Amino acid sequence: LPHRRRPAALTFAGLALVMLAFSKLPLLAVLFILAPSSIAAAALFSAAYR
Amino acid sequence: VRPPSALVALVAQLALVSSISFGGFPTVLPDVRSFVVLTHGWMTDEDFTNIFTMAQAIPGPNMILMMGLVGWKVWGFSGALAGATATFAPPCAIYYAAFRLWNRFRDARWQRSVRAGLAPVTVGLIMASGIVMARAADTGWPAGVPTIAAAVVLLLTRLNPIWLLAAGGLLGGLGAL
Repeated sequence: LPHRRRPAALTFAGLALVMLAFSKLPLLAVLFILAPSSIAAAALFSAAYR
Repeated sequence: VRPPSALVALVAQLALVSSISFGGFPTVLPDVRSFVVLTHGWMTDEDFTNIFTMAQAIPGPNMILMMGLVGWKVWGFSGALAGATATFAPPCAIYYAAFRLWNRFRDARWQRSVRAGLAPVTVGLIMASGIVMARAADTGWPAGVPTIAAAVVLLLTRLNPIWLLAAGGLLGGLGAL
């Protein structure tokens, strides 16, 4: 809920949910795909807000 | 009796997933279930959810206890000890080794980005874990209704989950599920 006003955060939470629960991808694959891209998105958005 | 390779495989898998359990061990439950139920067939979905429920109902470090019970099911008492150790030892070692570095840069911009980036992924993994466990436990709509009701009640109210556990236990005891 603290992230509900961050569209990028909601997108990455939704992607993690779908990839693990419905696409049944292995956790390692989900983390390798989503963790770096979510961190990069957070860095880009925080730079843009500054 | 299963071969020792089963124990080695279980310990290696638990050590691996516990090392990447961002947000706590519940985020890796779908992977553990897939490994012990679907890949190796060491237990059924019912066994896995029973162990999950038992571990959740007991106070204390419930995921360590749960993996101990999973290990017990796979390889007896030695499996229980190995399963519990493989669950807490690798992340403890990693946190111990990484804490100084992490703490030294706690105000760094990159660390704020890492935290802000990992948090939503972790939230999604926890929700996915809930869905996977509900699917494994709920064999039909009578069992699905309490799951959905519990989720809605906890989202909308501040009710202590113990009441929901008690209500679920009562429904199960009365044979309604």
